[in-house]
Amino acid sequence: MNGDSPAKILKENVWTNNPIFIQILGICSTLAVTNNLTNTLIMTLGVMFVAAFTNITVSLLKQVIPRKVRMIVQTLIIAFYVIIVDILLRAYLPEISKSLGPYVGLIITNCIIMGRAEAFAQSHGPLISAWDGLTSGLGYMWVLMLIAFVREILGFGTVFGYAVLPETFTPWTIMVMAPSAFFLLGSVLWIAKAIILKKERGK
Amino acid sequence: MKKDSLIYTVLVTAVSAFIFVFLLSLANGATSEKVAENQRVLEAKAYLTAAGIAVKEDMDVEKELMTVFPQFDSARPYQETTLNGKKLIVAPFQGSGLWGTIYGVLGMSADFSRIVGMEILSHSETPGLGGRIDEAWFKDQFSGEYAVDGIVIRHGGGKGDTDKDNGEVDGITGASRTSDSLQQIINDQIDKMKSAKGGMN
Amino acid sequence: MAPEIHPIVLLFASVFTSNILLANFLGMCSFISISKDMKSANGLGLAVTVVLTITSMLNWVLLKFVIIPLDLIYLRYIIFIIVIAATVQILEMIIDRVSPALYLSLGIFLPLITVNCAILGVALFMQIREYNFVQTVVFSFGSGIGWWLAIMALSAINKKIEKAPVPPALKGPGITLITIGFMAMAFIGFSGMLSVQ
Repeated sequence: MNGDSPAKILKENVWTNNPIFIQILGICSTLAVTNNLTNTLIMTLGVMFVAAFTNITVSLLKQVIPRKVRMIVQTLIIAFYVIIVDILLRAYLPEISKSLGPYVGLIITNCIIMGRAEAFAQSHGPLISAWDGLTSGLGYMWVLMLIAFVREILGFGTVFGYAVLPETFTPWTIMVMAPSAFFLLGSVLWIAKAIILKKERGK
Repeated sequence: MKKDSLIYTVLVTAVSAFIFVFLLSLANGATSEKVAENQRVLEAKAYLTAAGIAVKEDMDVEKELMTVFPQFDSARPYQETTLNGKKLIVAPFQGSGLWGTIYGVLGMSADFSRIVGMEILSHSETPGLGGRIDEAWFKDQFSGEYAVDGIVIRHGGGKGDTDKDNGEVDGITGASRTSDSLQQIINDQIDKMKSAKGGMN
Repeated sequence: MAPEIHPIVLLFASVFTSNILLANFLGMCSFISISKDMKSANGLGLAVTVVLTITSMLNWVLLKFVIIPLDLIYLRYIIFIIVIAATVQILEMIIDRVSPALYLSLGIFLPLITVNCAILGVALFMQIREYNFVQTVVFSFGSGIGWWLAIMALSAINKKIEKAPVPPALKGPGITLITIGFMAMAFIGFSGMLSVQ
């Protein structure tokens, strides 16, 4: 392998090369549920699980899969793990499965998973690929959890469904609705990029 | 066999597809009973909530259902029972929300003066917006609400209406279309239950 | 049971008030990278609309006559995605044979579409909301048009933004996202018109 240490992969996937900041990948499936922390947590955990296992599987099968059908087999592998997540949710967390509706299935088209499988698992061993999938999922998770935190606390005055703000607080309706997700994600990108640019200039 | 040959390509695709589908059907088979049980529990809970009974975590809901509704028969359009000396009737409802069909259960006092309870079974409204009709604070507003002239789901508010005598509940902030649809569904349901009850007597 | 939603209302809702991109965030990936130039935006919008409508109809037929009768609902994700991938492949081949000119303007966008979440999203919404055939056609066509409209508007706005003094850290995806936010707010404004139902 080409000397990628686990610590370096962690740092890259969570911060310097965060899938959301740098590549704006994979936000479609989860942004819609970021007005609620619980739903966001479950969705991002699902993405993490699928990314890690897809990477392992793709890495193990990379010698076997013919080049021509690589994409379709990868899609098949991703769909397989997403269905596992869906089945598990329906059996053990029926309430959450109900409120997530079709969004669990949309993890299939989450570009991060396919992107990491192509860019990393194709050329690395299974263990380090699993780590890469996990950390990509982690990088994805913290950004979306941050957005969900702001949206839930300002939109409903709650954190994970528990009221934390006083009764007199007037919820910001806009935070519940779609546009706020775009504004917040844009702002997070702005701040992250400002910090990265400042560091570069400091060098 | 050459890795780029057509036979190899087709073979690998077919075999991997077969293995994945096989594993999935195993996983589905292993959990289908659990899923079916979840569904039964969900429905039993909905009937109990609609009858005004607080469902606790450790309750055997299916047993409880038979105690509350001794003559429970899902073939009938509505269930009748007497709780604490008050007669009430409970019936499942369905109707179009903003996006898809909303299914639920509604309980009314037998003289149709007040709603006893309301529970949502399934819906496909937007998560976090219209989907909040499935949250406890919203559904709790219905229990005990005065409903002689039907109910009104108000726009705005979004905190929960505590006045049980005004025939109004707070709607979901940002989801006025879902609130309007649900208001229509519930009022239609009250009328349906009235005529079904009238027809039986 | 299919919900009793009038097709015209559904069409209006899927294009404007519940735009698949602005309200449901679906199809963002290709959206942000392509929205820089109007010509590609137009091509991709057309391709998405065509593929969306065709695959939703195919998926509806499969759902109704194969998936539900055989109780294979848990496999729907795989079946839907295979239908989408196959449709894109076949469409690419047909366009290449029939009209090389169209292939040049449309063909290059087709492979991008398989991983566009809007396509799978519409198929899943159609299944969960139990739409009938007419509703499915209207909803998928409307979603495609809505996506097309949004990407065209965004690429036009992006042209103006290029000349605007944007803070360096906000340039690129940051300002694009905030622009989309404003567009989403504007589209929500259409919801007052829906009371005709």
